[in-house]
This record gives sequence, C-alpha cells and structure tokens, in this order.
Amino acid sequence: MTNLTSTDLILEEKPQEINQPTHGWLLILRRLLGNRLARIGLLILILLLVMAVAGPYLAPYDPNALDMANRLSTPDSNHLLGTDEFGRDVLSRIIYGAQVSLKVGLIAVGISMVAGTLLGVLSGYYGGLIDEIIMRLMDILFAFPAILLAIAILAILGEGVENAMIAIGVVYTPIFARITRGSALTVRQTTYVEASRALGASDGWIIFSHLLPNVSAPIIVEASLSLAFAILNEAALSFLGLGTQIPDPSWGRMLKESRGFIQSAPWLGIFPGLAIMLTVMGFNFVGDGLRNALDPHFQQIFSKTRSS
Amino acid sequence: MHNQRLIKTVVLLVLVTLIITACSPQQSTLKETVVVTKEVQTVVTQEVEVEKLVTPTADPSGIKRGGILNAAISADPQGFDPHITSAYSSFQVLENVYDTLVTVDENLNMVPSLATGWEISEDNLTWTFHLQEGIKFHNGRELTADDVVYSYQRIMNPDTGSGASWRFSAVESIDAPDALTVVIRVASPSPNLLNMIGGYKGMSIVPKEIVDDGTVNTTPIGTGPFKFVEYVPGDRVVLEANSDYWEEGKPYLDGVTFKIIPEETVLLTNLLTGEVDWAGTLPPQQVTELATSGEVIVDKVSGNDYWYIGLNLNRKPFDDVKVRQAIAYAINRAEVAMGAKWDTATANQGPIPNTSSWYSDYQPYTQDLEKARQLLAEAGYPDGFKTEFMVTNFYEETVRAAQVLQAQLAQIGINAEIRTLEWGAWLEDEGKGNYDMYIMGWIGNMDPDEFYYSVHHTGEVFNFTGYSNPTLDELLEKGRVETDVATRMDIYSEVSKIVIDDAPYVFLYNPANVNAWQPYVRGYFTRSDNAINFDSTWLDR
Repeated sequence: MTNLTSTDLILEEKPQEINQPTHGWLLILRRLLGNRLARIGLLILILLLVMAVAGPYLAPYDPNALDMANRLSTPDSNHLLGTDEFGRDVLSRIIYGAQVSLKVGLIAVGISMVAGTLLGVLSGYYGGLIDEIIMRLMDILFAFPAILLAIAILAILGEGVENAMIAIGVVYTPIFARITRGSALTVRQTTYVEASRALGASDGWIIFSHLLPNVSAPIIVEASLSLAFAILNEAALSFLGLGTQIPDPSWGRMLKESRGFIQSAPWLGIFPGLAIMLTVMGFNFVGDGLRNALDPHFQQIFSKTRSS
Repeated sequence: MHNQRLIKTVVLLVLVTLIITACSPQQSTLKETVVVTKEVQTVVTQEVEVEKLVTPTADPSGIKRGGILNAAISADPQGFDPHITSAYSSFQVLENVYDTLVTVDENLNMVPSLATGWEISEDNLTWTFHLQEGIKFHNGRELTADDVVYSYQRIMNPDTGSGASWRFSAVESIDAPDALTVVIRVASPSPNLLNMIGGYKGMSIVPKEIVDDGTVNTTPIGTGPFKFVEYVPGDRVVLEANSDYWEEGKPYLDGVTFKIIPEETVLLTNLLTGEVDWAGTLPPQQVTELATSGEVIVDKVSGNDYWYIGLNLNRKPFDDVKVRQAIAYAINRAEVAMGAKWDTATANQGPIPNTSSWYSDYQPYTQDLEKARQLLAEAGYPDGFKTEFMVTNFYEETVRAAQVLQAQLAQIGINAEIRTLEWGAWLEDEGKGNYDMYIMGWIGNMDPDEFYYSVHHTGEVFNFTGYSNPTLDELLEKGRVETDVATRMDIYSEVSKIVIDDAPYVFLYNPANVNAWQPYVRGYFTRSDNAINFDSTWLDR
C-alpha cells in the first residue's frame, strides 16, 4: 500500500529545488487530490463533517431516546445499525458521536497547535535560557505516554468532555513546540531575517512575517495527523469513563458500553469501532497526503527510504 | 488430483463432525419452580417461590471428598475484622471462617450454630444460650462462653467502631455463668434478638488473643469450616479445610481459593473455561442466556436487597412531598429494573421483597404522567426543574438505572444531569448531604426493623435524606419491642404506608442473587441473604 502511494507520487511530482517554497493553495490541493489515499481520506472527512454538521437532520431517531421494548434489536430496516441495551438507535448515536469526536479533535488540536507553536517560536527565536526552560518542560511532558498523561491531567481537572479536550491539548503541545522550534532555529539564521533585523524590524514583526509563514507547512501536516490521535484519545478516555459523560453519545463510550454484549449483540461494538477506525484512517491519509503535497523534497527522501 | 481432493473432503468432513460433537452440550439443565414453605423464627409461616436450575443427573448420595474449589469474587476484601468491616467482599470470605452463636439456614430460619439451644424467660427479658462442647478455634484453643461475652462487648464498645453495635441497643448485660452458658438480658422484649446476633457474620465470635496482638484484621482465626491461609491483594484469598470443625465430617473440600476478578466479562470467561469453578456474580444481561445454555449451572434466588432513589429533603424542591410523589408517579419501575438488572430484578414500590412475609402490598404509584404533572404544578413547578442524579461507577447498575430514570423524568419536565462519582467521593457527598437525588441500594436486611429504622428514623446515622416524621418514629420504636407477631405486622404495614407516601426514598426494585458454577460443583445453594457458604460443597470429578 505504501509503496503504491510512493510510486504514484514519484510519477506525478517532478523533483524540485530544496528550498523552493510551496505556494498556491490550488497547487497544493491538486497535488493532494492526485494522491489516491488522500482522496479516500478526504472523502471520509467530508462524510464526517456532514455527519457532524447536519447530524440532527440526518439521524433517524433522538440519540438519547430510550425504547425498552426494542432493546438490542438486530440491524434491520427500522434501525439500520440496530439498537443498544436501552433501545437507543445505534446509527443515530454514531451520527451524533461524530460531532463529539470532531469537536474534541479540533479544539484539542487547536489548543496544542496554538500553545505549541507559540512556545516553539519563543524557544527557537530567542534561544538561550528561555529555550532551555521551555524545551526541558516539553521533554518532561513528552516522556509520558500520551494516554497516561491525559488520565493524570483529568485526575486533576475532573472528568468531562471539556476537560478531556484540555488534557489532550496539553498532551500534544510538545510535538508542535518541537517542530516549530526546529524550523525557527533555521529561519532565524537566514540572511533575510538578519537583513530585516538590520532594517530595525521588531521581534514581533520578524516572528509574524518571517518565522510563522515558514513553519506553517509542517504545522499543518502535524495538525492533521494529530487530529487522528486526538480523536482516538477522546475515544480511549471515554472508554475509560473519563471523557464524554452519559448519556451523550460518544464512540468511545459506546465501545465501553458494548463490552458486555460482544457475544449477544456484536453490532454494538462493531459500528462505533468502525467509525473510530475510518475517521482515524481518514485523517492519517489526508495528513500523509498533505505532507507530500506541501513538501515535495521530504516526499522524495521518504519514498526513497521506504522503497529501498 | 481427484484423489487428493477426495481425501481433503473426507478429512474436512471428519474435522467438522469432531468439532460439532465437541461443541454440543454434554449436560442439559432443567428449569423447575419449587414452592418452599418456610418458617421464620418459628412463628411466621410464609411461602417463597424459588427458581432453581437442577441437573437431572444430580445424585444426593455419594459425596466425594477433597479438592480445592476456585471461587471468583469481584472485589478485594476490605479488612478481615468481622466486627469492623462492612464490606460484602470481606464477608464473602469471612462467612467460611467465622461462626455466630445462632445462624440463618438457607430458608432464613434461625437455627443453632455455636449454641445448641436457647431459652427465653417468662418476661421475655432474659435469653440463655447453651454452647456446644469441644468447639476449637483454628489456633487450637477451645471456645468458651467468655469468648462470646468478649466478642459482644467488643461490638458494643463505641471505641471499636463497629457498624453492628446498634444491634445490641436493647441489650442490658451479657454474662457467662459457666464455660458453656451465655446469658443475655434485654431492657425490653426483643423478638428480633436471634436475628440480631445471628443474622449476619458481623456478629462473629472472635478469640481475644488475635485482637490483643492486632492480627484480627489481617489473619482471621475463627471456628468456621475453613482456616484462613493467605491474602494476596488484588489476586486471591486462600482458605484450607479446618480438620477440627465442630460439624462432624465437614467440610468436604480441602480448601477454597477466592480469586479476585473485578471485570464481569473476564470473570465470566474464567467460569466458562473452568479457570474458576464458582462465580459470585454474573453480567446481568447474560444470566438468562447462560441459564438456558447448560454450560454452567445458574442459580437465581430472590434477594432481600433493595435499590432506591434517595431524595435530599433539605434541598428545594425535594422538601415538598408533592414533588417527591410526582417523581414516584413519573417513573416506570419495571423499565428501570430491566435497564439496570435485565430480568434479574423485580420492581417494587416498597423496600421489602414480595418473597418476605413482611412484604407490603401497598403499591400506589403506577406510572401516571398526568398525575405527576398535576402534582408538580400544585407544588409550583408546572414546567419541571433542573436537578441531578448522583451515581457511582462502583455500582454500574446505578449508572444504568440513572439513564432510564433520566429519560422518564424528562417526560414531566424534570431535567436531571447524571453525576458519576468514584465510590469514595460518592459516599462523602452522600454523608455531607451534597446531592439532589442519588441511586443506591441497601443489602442484607431481613427483619422489617432493619429495613426502616436506621434509614428513616429521625436523626439516625444512615438517615441521609434528612427525613423526619414523628408519627413514623413512634411506630418504629414500637415495632422494635413488640413481641406479638400480628400486632407487629400491623405496625410495619402502617410504617411502609407512611414511608411510601412521604417518599424520602423512591423505591425501585429488588434484585435477585445470582451465583453460577460448573456442573461438577455440588452441595451449594444461592441464598436470599447473599451469604456464601462452602461448608457442604463438594466436587464431583
């Protein structure tokens, strides 16, 4: 699968200059759509977005409406994906769950992107003691397994979906900080930044007009990949009972509740599981596609090492 | 080429046949309903329907001795001092290690145990108990009347902090006139005394020496059928047979190993694969399926536990009886029971199950949304209000019940959030009165006094709702000392009417006790008081 993608890309892309900046959103989009997996990923994400936005119009039932007479009914024409232990429609819950997943993913990644980028720029641009302090802190956060750190943060903040967003946001901050810092270090020493400084530009000006545009590509790629992990983590936290609280539908929570019915009503676990899997896959495909589209140089090295 | 295909087909057919044979159940089970007539405290006669699964091959004679029984329980014991712990997980083990003066048989009759018999004086104020001769503690020392006196005084002593001390509230003195006689004097007639001292293992007789050397909470030494060997936290509790047990020939097993398996589904897998021979709990949604599958024996017995909604009478709007009654009218208990416990619970509007002679048929709250809305309007909440259910994931059934109740109450405009707490935090908030409504259960009650007094009498320790009704208090105090059974019946039927009408608790259901075991485990019965006794259990293999 990966080999196939790589060759696809090699065929489509022509080698480019190392430092040539990628520009033009149309170009990026065309490159992205040229990647078959990214196309699949985009399709999944569009579907997810539609589910999240138009959920109330799409869902055949109220996701929290109990129907004790019809509980654990097998998937049929009334309930396309069956009903759960309280007679709630699984399809409706999955549609509403998309909203939760997407919201948590976007907000959590938003938090880590803003915080991480800010810290990374400060660290990379100013260097010295600030760099030391920030990056050692990031190292400490980075040393913990993601889900463990999230659980620890939730233990302090308390359970709930809002706190889960903050926890996931904090967990992914170091990644953004590192990426930004790396780019900022390189850009800081370029002649155009020196020139800018010589002309009397302030630090803020240099950061916003030179540094940030230069780090945006890797950050966008990282954000799309992090979204996948954030959604996966929300599901894991909800599975552990720390994320989304009852009775709101969340895919992780649905998985948790399905455990007792693996033999008698397997659809309770299969469909939310599929939803999580497809969403994570979608974000990963798009993330990979974006990486290739935004950084052809990286793509080349990447495909060479992969195929060798 | 053709030959090869033929051979392949034959091999495949043989394999399929083998698999099918291996999968077919070897033993079928038969469901029958037994009506048992039983006597409680030798005066009250009652009929109990007991559903039991009986294996047609069961053979009453030919008991086989030996072997270790692996029993799965879902929680770690919380200390082994029977006078202090209140955890059911502790008593699951201690039941087999300790004895009480009298005990309850599987039909809830009070029967002799350490005491072979007893007499009551004319004025009903002096009880004389005669101990069996030659009973030995697991450390080899002989049990005397002094040990009984010591144990009871330890329970009564406030410094001990025993949750069972209230059981002696009527007791004036306990003496040992000789080594085999115990005399208990009570201030007022106590028809319930046998139940009080033998109803549960928190009234066990412990030897003084293990209290003195401080090992009572870690290495229990009793007179029971099994000796304590070791406890590995989070893993197992090991017991071995007591060869000096006072009941001749028992126990039949060489020992019992309790394996601690918190996850219901894992516990079930362990039982089905034979990793454990006996299980104390089953996932409720699978009970019926398992019972009919015949893979294991599933024993379901109506229990004495009850689950309820506790309302905070110190908070608005629950201070208004109309609001409480509106809630009681708005809910459909059968659905709650089904949602929380599948078909292993019976809906009830009072606490006492319909299998008990004290059951009250006063059941006024059939679901009636119109009436509920009307009551809310009369109370000044025509559009309902916002509130919360406090539940704990330590008892998953409270979380499940809350989801059903939430949907039902929403129909009359009461929008309840569900606040799920960890068990310790839950208990703390209940104690502080920091809740609107909570869902919980009380277990192990038998006498009506136990069902009502400590939770509804004004100012009692377990009265967490802040409920107070002088008429009820008076009746409850009368009920404790009334010796005439018919009068007592009247008192408690009045009590149940008041409690159900005032609705500090909105009662939900009585769950059944469910135990399950491999077909080769014999001589075990699930009991309605949830006590787990392996003294007559043996392994047929």
